[in-house]
Amino acid sequence: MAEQEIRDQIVALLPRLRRFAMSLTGNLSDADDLVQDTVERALKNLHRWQRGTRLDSWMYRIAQNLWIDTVRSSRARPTTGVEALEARHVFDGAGAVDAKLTLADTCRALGELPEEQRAVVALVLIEGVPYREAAQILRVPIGTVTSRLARAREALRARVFGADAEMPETGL
Amino acid sequence: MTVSTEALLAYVDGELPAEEARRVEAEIATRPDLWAYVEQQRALRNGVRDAFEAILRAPVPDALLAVATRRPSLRWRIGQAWRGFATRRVLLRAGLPVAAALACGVTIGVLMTGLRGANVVSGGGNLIARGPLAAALTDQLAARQSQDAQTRIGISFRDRSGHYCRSFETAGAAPMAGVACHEGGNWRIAVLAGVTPQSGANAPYRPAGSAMPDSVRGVVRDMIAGPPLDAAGERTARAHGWRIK
Repeated sequence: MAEQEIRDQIVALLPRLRRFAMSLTGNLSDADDLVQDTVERALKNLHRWQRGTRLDSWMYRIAQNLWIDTVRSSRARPTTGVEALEARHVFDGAGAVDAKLTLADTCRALGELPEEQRAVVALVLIEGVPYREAAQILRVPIGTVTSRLARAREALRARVFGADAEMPETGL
Repeated sequence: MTVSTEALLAYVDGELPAEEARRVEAEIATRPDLWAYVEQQRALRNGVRDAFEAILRAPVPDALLAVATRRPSLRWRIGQAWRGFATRRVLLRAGLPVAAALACGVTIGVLMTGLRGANVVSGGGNLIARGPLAAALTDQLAARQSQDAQTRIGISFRDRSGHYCRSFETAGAAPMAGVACHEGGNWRIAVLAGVTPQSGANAPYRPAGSAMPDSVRGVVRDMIAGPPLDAAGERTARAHGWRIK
């Protein structure tokens, strides 16, 4: 792939990278800083990208690594209050559930998750990345992805639907 | 009861093989509590995803576009350009301040050169189609394009402000899909998304057969005013240079 093609592809990826960065950092200005660092790092290391592998996954990984470095060095994420998530959930007659979450609320809720859980939520739930790909991006076994995802979702579910939302007895 | 929480979540995420998904469905059908749990998790997944959807539609800041389109070898290229009209000695004597003062002027030319062949450039806060993509948008008729065309036009339509817009997909190792609208003599990119190559190790995230990414499809739905142009409408619009009266 010619370098120009890769650049076109990176430009096309920018909106998704911003969304991913936003879910990691919790605010747009840190997110844009992170995306900028990610793109610069990627362009400097284009020779390390293996042709035939996914460019988007490679860039997600760069962003995630840069973010972890930032967090370790500075605890950059502003600590957020523990306000209740202002979710408006609507139960219709058939029992269907609809959760309308604002971006700010969702970011606050994500901010309370441990970093490693938030990364999985960002990739799988927000970016729509399959488990296997998420495991490769984060360099963890697929079982780690599913268990982190389960813990993160339980925490989010408790916030959105209330701490006493019933957890079914699965027997396992 | 033999369904684990993780299996239920994998079911919500569409990660279960078909046979296992059917087994989970059968189990859920007899267990209202499991069904409610699955519905909650589905709502949660959709709610979180939808909350972040706006970021995909938000314009990307120019600073980010500039970082992505800047050539890494810019310094070298400026050096090369310098040598075209300044002797090495002058360059060394001039030092940094003069170099910086002149760099802006030089940079523009260098960037133009560097981006020749690019399908997309940034300008005036927008992305503009260039090169082969712009040519295809201007000349290619959706009804008459070869299977192996580098750029394929999807639909042509008028947006709410009356401008002609066309959806497209580019081929190659880094395929893209998007919508461009003809404004002020340029094809302004309204939305652009990377498309996963459909072969080999690059299994697509999207189900096969949905050529247009959802993000692009959604933007078309929001933009389009009236039905898409038919073949005759496309020919007429092309004959008028995609200008609106």
